[in-house]
Amino acid sequence: MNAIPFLRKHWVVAGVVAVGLVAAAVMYDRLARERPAPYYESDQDHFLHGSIGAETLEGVPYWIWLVLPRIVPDLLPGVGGYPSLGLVTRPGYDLPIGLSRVTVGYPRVAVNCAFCHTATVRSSPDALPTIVPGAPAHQTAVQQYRRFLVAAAGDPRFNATTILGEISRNYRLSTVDRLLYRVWVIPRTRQRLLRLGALGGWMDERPDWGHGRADIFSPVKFGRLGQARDAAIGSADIMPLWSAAQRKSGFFWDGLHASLQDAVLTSALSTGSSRPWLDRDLARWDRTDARDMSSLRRIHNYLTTLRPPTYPFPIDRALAAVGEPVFRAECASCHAVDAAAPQSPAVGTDEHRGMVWTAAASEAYDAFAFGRAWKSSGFAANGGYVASSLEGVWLRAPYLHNGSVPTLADLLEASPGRPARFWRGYDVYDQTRVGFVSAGPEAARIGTLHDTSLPGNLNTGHAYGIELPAESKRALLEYLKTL
Amino acid sequence: MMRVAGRRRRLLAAAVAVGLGFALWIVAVLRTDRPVVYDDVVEHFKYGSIGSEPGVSLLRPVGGVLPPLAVFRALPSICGLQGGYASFGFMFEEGRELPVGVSRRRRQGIDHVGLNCAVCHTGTVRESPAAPRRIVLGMPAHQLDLQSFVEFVLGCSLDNRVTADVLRGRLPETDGPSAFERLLLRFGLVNRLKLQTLDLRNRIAPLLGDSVPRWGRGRVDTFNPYKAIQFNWPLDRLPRSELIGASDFPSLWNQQPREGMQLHWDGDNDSVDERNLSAGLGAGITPATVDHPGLRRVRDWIWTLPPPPYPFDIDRGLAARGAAVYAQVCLECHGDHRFREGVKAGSRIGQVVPVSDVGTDRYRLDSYTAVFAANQYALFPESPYRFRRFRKTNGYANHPLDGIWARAPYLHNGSVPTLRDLLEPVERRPAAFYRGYDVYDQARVGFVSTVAEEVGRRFFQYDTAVPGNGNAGHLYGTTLPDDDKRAMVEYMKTF
Repeated sequence: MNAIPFLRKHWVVAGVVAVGLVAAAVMYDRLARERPAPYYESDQDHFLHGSIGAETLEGVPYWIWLVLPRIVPDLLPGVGGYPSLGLVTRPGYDLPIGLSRVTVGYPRVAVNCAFCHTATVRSSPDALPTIVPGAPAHQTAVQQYRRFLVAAAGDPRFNATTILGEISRNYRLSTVDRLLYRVWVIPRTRQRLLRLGALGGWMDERPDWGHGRADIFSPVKFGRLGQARDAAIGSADIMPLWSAAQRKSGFFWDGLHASLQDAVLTSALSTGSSRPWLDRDLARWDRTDARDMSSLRRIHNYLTTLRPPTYPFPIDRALAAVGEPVFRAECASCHAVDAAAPQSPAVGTDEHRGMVWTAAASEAYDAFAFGRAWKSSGFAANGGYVASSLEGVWLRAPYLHNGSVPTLADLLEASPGRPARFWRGYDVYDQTRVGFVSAGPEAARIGTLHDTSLPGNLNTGHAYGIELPAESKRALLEYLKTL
Repeated sequence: MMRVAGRRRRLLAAAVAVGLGFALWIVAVLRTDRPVVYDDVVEHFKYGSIGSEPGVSLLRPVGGVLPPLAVFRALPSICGLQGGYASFGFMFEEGRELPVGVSRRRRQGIDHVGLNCAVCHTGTVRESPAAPRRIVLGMPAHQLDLQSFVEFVLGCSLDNRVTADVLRGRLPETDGPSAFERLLLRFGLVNRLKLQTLDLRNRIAPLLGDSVPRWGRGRVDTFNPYKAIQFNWPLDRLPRSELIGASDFPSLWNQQPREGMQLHWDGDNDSVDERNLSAGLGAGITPATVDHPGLRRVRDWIWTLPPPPYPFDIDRGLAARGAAVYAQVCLECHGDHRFREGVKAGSRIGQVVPVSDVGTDRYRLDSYTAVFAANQYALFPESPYRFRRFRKTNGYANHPLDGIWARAPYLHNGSVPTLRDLLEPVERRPAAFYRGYDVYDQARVGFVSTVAEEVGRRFFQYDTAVPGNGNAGHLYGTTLPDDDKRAMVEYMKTF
C-alpha cells in the first residue's frame, strides 16, 4: 500500500524532469544550435553570399528581416524594400548581395564583405545594371540600412502580433516556433537592435555617411574596444578590393595595415564577426579543401585574383595616348600603378579620416585580441593618406578618400570650382566627366546629398593638374579610363 | 447534503463536457479547409479553387480580395448594382449561382469565394447582336471590367448599408451559411471584414478611381496592385508614370510550346509554372494560402488546350495567298499557323525586341522594375516554388499568334481594335474606340469597336491619347498594298 504513493511521486518527478529535458532540447535546437553555413562552389559566390560569422552577434532573424520593409515601409528612404537602400540583388537570388544567411537556432541574416564591396553601373537610365564584385558599393546606403533596422525596432509596429501576422502571409512557422518567436525571438531581436542603435550613438554626432561611404574604424574603436568618444570623423569612401596582391603600399586610406590578411581580419571584426567564430575560422586557415577551408581565407584568396574591371564604354585611344605622357609628368610620381606610393600628410585634403586611429585604440586592440590567432600584426597610422595606385579608377568615383569630388573632371579643377553639393549613389555613368551622374532629379531621388561644407566632407586639397590646359585635361581623363 | 453535492458535481461535469465539446467543435471548424471540388477539369477551370480565398487565421485572415460568400451574394442588391455582376462582364451559366471565374471554398468555418484563372481568361463572342453568345475558355476576358468590379466590391463592402443585420436578413433559405458562420455574422465578422477591406483599399488607392488612366474592359495592371498587396509598397511615393501599367489579358491556351519563351508582355519570365503562380497572386492567392494541386490541374489542362478555331467562314484561297505575304513580313518574329501544333517557325519567336525598335507604348514596360523583381525573388520562400526566373527586360516579347482572332484588341495595351487596323500606319489607326462589345467584325478581324452601349451595359471608351494607351509602333506590314493586307488577315484567321 505504501509503495503506491511512493512510486507515484517518483513518476511525477521523472515526468517533470523528462518534460523539462525535452523542452530544453527543443529550445536549444530552435534558438541556439548552429548549423553549418551554406557552401558556395566558387570563391566569388562565397564572397558575394557566404558567411563571415556575423550572424551570431548581429544577425537579424530571416523571417523578421523579410517582413520588416512591409511592416514599416515609411521608415525606408524610398519605395521597394531593401533595394531602396541601394542593396543589389542578383537575378534569381532571394537575399541581396552582401547578406549571408546561417541558421543559429533560427535562420539569421548578417552582413558580409560584399555588402560594401560590390558596385553597379549603368550606361543610361534605361540600361540594365552591371554588377561588379569587389568594387566600392557607391550605391549602397550602409548607415541607412543600419538605421532602418534600429528605427524599425523602436517602432510600435515592431511587435509579435504584427510581425507574426505578416510572416504568416509568406510562411507557416510551426506552433512551437510561433510561440518561441512571440516570447523570445521577437522581443530579443528588438532589444538587440535597440542596443545596436545605442552603441551607434557616436554616429549621430557626425555628418551622415551617405551612399557609398562608411566609417569602419569608429565601430571598432567605440564599440568593441570601448574607447572614449573623441571628435574624429572616420567617414570615408568604400575602397576597391582588386589588385590586393600587387599592392605595395598600405591598406586602407591611411595605410593602417601592411598586409592583406590583416586588412581582411580587421574588416571582418568591424563587420561583426564574433571572436569564437574568428577563432574557429582562423584554425582552418591553412586547409586546402574549399569545403573545409576558412571562410576568410577563401575571401583572401579570391581578392588576390581579383583584377580591376575594364572601362565598359568606348575609349578614344588616340586621345588616351596623348594623355599618357601627361599622366607620367603630373601623376605618376605618386600614383604609378607599379610603384610603392608615398604617404603624404601634405596633400591638403580633409584631415578627419587620418586622425581616426589612435595609439590608445591600438593598445586596446592588443588587449582585446591578445593571444588570438586572428590578431593582426599591428597598426601604422601617421596621420596622412596613402596615394594609392589607380587601377580601375573609373569605377572608384566619387573621388578623394572622403568621396567629396564627384568626377575626375571635377578633381582637375581647384577646390572652389568643384561642386559644393552633389548627389551620391546614382549608378548611371557620366562618360564625359568620368564618374557617376551626380545631379538631376533621378540622382536626387535615388541618392543622398553630399555637402562639402560639413566637417569630414571637405573637397579641398589634391591640387594637382588643376592648371593644365583644357585639352591636356581631356587627354588625361581619357587615359585614366584605360587604367 | 450528499445528494445536493452529488448533483452539483454531476452538473459541473456536464458543464465541463459541454464546454469541452464546444471547444473541440470550434477547433474542428477552425481547421476546415475544403474547396468545392469538380471532377471535370473544365468545370474546375471555371469554378474550381486555386486557393485565392482568405485563410490561415480567423482573426487575421491572409489573402483573398473578395468578401465571404454570404456578403458577396448580397452586395449587388444592397448597393443597387444595375444588372448585377454581369454588368462588369461576368458570365453566369444556366443553373449556376456564381459566375465563371469565381470559386467557393470553406475555410475556418466560413464559406468564402475567390477568383480563379477563368475570371480573366474566359471570353465571349457573338456573330451578330441577335446571335447566341459563345463562351470561349482560355480566351482573354476582353469584356471584363476588373477594375470597376474591384472598386464596387471594396466600396460596397465599406458602405454603411452593409451591416450585420441587413446581411442576416438576406441569407438564402437553402445553401445558407453554417451555424458557426451565422454566429460570427452576429458577432464581429462584418466589422472585421470592413477593416480588412479598408486595409486593401488603402494599399491600392493610388490605382483606383481616376488617379491613373482607367484600365477599362479587357485590361489589367498586372504588377502595380501586386507591389502594394504583396509587399506593401507605398504606391503614392512611386513616380506616377510607374503606376500606369494596364495591358490586355493574354490567352491561356497551348502553353506547352511556350515553355522557355519570354512570357508576359515584356517577356519578364520564361517559366510557365512560375508565370502561372505569379498570375495567381493577382487573383488573391498568397504563398500561405495557395492551393498548389488546384493550380496544377489548371496548368496541366492549359498545357495542351488547343486554341479555338475561327468560328466563321474563311476564304481559303485568299488565306493561301496571305500566307506568302505573312511569311515575308511576320513569320520571323511570330511563327505561323503551325504553332497550334507546337511548331516554332521563325528564329526570334518568344524573344524580346527592344522598345526602341518596336516603338510601342512603353508605360507597361516601365511599370515592371528591377527593384520589383528583387522583391519577387523572396516570394514562396523556403519552398521549391520560390521565384527565380523573373528578369527586368528592355522591350516587349514576340508572342506566338495561335488563336489570334480571339485576342483582339491588339498590341500589349489593346490600343488597336482589329488586325486590319494594326496593318495601317499610326495616323490611320482609330484614335478612339470602344472596348468590351463581343460582336465580331469578320472583315477587319477583331471586335466591333464603334458601339458605346447595349441594353444598359456600357463599353469602355478607349482614348489612345491617354498615357499608357498609345497606339504607335509595330509598323510592320503597314506599307503593303491593300490586297496583301486583306489576304494576310484572312490567313491569320487560320491560326
